[in-house]
Amino acid sequence: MRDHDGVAKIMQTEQIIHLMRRDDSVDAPQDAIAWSKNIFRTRVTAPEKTLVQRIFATLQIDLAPGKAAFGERSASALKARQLLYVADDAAVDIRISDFAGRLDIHGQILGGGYEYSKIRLFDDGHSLETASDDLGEFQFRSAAAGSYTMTITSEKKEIVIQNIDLH
Amino acid sequence: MSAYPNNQSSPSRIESAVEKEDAALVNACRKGDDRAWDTLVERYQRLIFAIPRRAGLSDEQAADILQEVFLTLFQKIEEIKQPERIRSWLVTTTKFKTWAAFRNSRGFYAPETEEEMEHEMASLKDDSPLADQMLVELEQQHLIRTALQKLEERCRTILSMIYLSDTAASYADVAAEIGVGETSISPLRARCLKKLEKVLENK
Repeated sequence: MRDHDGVAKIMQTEQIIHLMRRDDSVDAPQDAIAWSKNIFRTRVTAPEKTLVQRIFATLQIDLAPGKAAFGERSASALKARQLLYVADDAAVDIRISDFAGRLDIHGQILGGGYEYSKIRLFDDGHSLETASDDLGEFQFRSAAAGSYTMTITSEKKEIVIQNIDLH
Repeated sequence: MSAYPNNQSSPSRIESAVEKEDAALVNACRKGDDRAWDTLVERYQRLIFAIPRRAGLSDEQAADILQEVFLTLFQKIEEIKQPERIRSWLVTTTKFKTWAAFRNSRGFYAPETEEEMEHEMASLKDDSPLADQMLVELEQQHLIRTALQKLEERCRTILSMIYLSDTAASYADVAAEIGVGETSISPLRARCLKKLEKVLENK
């Protein structure tokens, strides 16, 4: 039956046309569709497990240049501004010195566990990165004046120091 | 009543071109993909809405059922054993909910179990609103609409205007819409139908 395939083909095409002509379906109301979509967004998602504990440091000492810390002799007063932050069982000592209009930052994380940590200093327009050494010391050179956030990220913890005012 | 002497519905010819896509969408939803869920809703809202309407329920009742079906899907999506058959799951679920609403609207108590519901629905006559043949036709129409979306815009416009609108557009109207001469419409129509068939046959 040479024409069998041709007949079958015509019937298939005709069937598709028939089904299309009988299709009187319409879209559901938009509010019902929107409601159905929004169900999914109401699901409770478990917070992502993170291996890094974030700790926000608090400022304990802010010494302007030339001022001695309590108990120190004035002769030993630093030429740098000194900031001391406490974060849980660690402390972060930051010294800011002005060198020909650019700011150098030397710091040390005290308390152990922050050797070779990644350290980032950033604001909206700038981002500097470095790493601490085996003594927890680090430095940034030639930072611009501004208000920064510093993050110190070890394997299991991250210290966040906000609103570091460099001037 | 069928327009074809042998009462052919030929579901085997109109193969689902979207089962793989459906499985991917369901799996993406399981991973929390909002856009996959939105796509699933958009893809099936018309089919789900059509079932209770075809059964004689009002648009408001049909919209309620639509929302109930998607709520049930949301609650049970992890339990669906064959994601590629989500269409069948949606149609069956819609059928059950439509039947329950249909009975409630007539003052009958709803069957207490799904088995009772299935037993009642199995005894439905062939010309009843929820007979299997009706649902097969709705599913086939859904597949055709889905396949139509995969064609280029010109073919979609030609076939929609000629076959899907309430009043079939004339060749002159179609020609004006797509910006070609009226004599071009007939061969274009034929070519677009061929493309539609190829999509439906998974080619």
